Amino acid sequence: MDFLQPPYGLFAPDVDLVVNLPALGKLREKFPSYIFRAEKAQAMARKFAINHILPRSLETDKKCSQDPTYFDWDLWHAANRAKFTVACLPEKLGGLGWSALDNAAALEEFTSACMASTANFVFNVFGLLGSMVECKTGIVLDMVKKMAKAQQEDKPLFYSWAITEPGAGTDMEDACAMQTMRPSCHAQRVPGGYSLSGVKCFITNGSMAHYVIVNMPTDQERPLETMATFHVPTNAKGFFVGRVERKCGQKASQTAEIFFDKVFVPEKEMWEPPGKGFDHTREILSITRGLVGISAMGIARGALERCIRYAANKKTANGRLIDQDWVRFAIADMLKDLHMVRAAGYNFAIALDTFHVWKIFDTAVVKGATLLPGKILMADSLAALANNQLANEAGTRFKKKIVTNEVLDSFVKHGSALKAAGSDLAMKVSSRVLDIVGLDGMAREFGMEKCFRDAKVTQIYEGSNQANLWDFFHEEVGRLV
Amino acid sequence: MSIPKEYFEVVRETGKFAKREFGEHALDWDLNPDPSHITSLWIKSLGLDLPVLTIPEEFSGVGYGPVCQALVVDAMASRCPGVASVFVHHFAGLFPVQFANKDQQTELWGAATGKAGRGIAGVVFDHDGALSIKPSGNGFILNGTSSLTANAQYADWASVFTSDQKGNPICFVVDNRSPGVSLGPNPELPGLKINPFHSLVFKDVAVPAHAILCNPEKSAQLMEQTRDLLHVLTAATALGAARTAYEKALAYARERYQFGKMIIEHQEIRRMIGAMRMKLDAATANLYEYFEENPGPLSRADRKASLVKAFCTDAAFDIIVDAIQVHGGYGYMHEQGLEKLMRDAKVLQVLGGSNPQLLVEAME
Repeated sequence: MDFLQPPYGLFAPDVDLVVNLPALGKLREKFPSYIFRAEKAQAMARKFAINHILPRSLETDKKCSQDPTYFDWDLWHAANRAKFTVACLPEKLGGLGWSALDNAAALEEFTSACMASTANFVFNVFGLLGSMVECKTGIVLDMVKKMAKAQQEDKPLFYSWAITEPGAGTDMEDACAMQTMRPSCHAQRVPGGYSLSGVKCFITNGSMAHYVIVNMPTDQERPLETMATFHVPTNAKGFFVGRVERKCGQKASQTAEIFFDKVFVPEKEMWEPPGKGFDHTREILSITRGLVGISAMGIARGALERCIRYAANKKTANGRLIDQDWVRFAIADMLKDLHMVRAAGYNFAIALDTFHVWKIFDTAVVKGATLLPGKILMADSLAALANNQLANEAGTRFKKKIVTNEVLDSFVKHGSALKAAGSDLAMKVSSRVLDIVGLDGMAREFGMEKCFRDAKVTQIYEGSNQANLWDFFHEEVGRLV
Repeated sequence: MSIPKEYFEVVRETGKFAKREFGEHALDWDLNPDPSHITSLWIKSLGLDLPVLTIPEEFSGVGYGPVCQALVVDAMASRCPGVASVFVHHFAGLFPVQFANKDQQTELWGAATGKAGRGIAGVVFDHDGALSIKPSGNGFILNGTSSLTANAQYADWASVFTSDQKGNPICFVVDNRSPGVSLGPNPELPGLKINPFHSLVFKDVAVPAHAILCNPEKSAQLMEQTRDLLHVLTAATALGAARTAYEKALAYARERYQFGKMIIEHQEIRRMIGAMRMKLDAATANLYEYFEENPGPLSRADRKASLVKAFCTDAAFDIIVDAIQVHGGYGYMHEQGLEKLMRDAKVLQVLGGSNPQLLVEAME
């Protein structure tokens, strides 16, 4: 067999969604367009990964080593023109109308080339996800319009989600922990709104963001009972970006400290009232943890495909490296784990489409609305209508009927398991491939050492794997004991 | 095993030296690996006799054996495995010299004791048969590109193990300043950055007869011994790095508050740190048991050293990765120093042969 070009993955442009997960074939029989669209998303993403991400990821990583504030705008603009920045918006509204499965298929392709570069054009979805939690029609429509407009004008629009504080990581992601946390941030009630003060750290895109969605308690003595969520424009008075961190990997994606010095936020920009902030976090995590698991699986895949290519070309005293028995066993062992996590990942994505917020797109109301011409959907008159209180409350009720507490519990459970599994896989595989390729293969040019540096943080962010396992146990077993 | 008292004195002084001279600069050197950092450090280290530790007393050295070398590189690695790796390859490069004839010894030890040049040595193994030599006069001409080699940009000379035209093992010393010797490109490995690996490119390099250290039979054995020394010193380097990671994790767990208590109070964190301690102790025992069996010049050459290296570097890697995990996001940041240790340990795992490869070969 000719190994020179592995006939799949990053080094081949063919669509292989159903090849990799044959069970999708049954779905394709029943819902051909669902699978067809996912294959299309995969093909688009792989092409972009090969043509745009792969050729520059090493160079960008190096530039960011020297200057952590370097940002690859060319790549961002290319991604924006391909609409990856608004992929989740319906096509009528200027997006790609991607389902969760489409997203998963694309994410795997992007992150197998470079996870950090991917973060730069997909993580702004935090804005939309954040607004969808309460699903107030006015806020969501405003968000959608802003995103669509920015994309059309090819202007960046970054959202950051600011949870972690210097003294509180896990404590911001777990209800019991939050009760005992020592918050450094405080939202003080003032006439007309709140005044935010404190520091958030390790904030992805914190230095790039135009808006930050931030959680702070109104009473530091009772963080869980008073945690609230605010939507803050970063040009607000009193908002500062601190240091952009120098990290081990994922260097193309900036991580920053952000400071709030009596930042005034009007009442209407409080997205969740005191006491509801934790639920907001949990709902976002119920989606993002699983997607981080899928992304981390992509890192593992990228490392493995690079390793296979290298081993097929590397000559040793006993033939090619890939001809060594121990190398074949190691690769098979890793591929086996990759297949398992990938199956879990796609299962999670299909479940998001079936039960979580994506299900909204399947409801008669939304289906009907998206039949309207785009011009009407984006018109100011509709925005005014959407913004009245009745409409807002109807939006919230409508969404909460679909995304119930039971749904959230289930997705926190599956998402946490997937996040831990995907990130453990990323770390294990990216480290092990270096043991296979040795010193020569560890050279920067082959990209595997970068996969290794990028992988470690996936075990840490979106809740440390320990926090994820804790949640998983609680949801799966803890209620019984 | 019983360790001579005077070794502890050396280790204590090395520890102080490491803390003072590069403990605080290691992170900066990782980002800006300027060679002058090592060259000026080297001169200072002569004050403690570190570079001449292994050289016999009759040649103005200290004459301490592999155990002391291991303790010294461990102490240095706890501050910076990259700096330690310079000494590791220096010691390995010096090792064959003691088996040369007296005149050669006088000359080479003289270079290393600082009377000429910087005196840093290196070592080149030619497992892939990439080097070729052809006779010329009394000596020979060397050509080829070596595999990636540590100390490449620092070493004045290197001990080279390869085969002659008939396929017989040969060991000789090459002066890296001779015409025709150059450095290959920097592969930019992720770790040990202060000691960038390069291949050495030899283009018609004249090697005089007196540079040949010993006959073929002896050369084969010497190569195994030198490789074994490199393995055990690499293991010691990993232990130094792992100990630092373990201590940092333990200290951090005692001061980090999360989930209503210091994280050391959480059983899962205790289990992780307990596993770190277990691996550190087991790896340390593994290395010093090896020395107990091989107190002298590492004559067994039974591949045990490669197993020791695989075990200790794998253990160190696991310990460091978990230390990062205990630190959460802070562990991933450069300023904490742990992610550097992880990158360094990753290189140690593949240095001198990647660990799975070594296990396979050890059983051949």
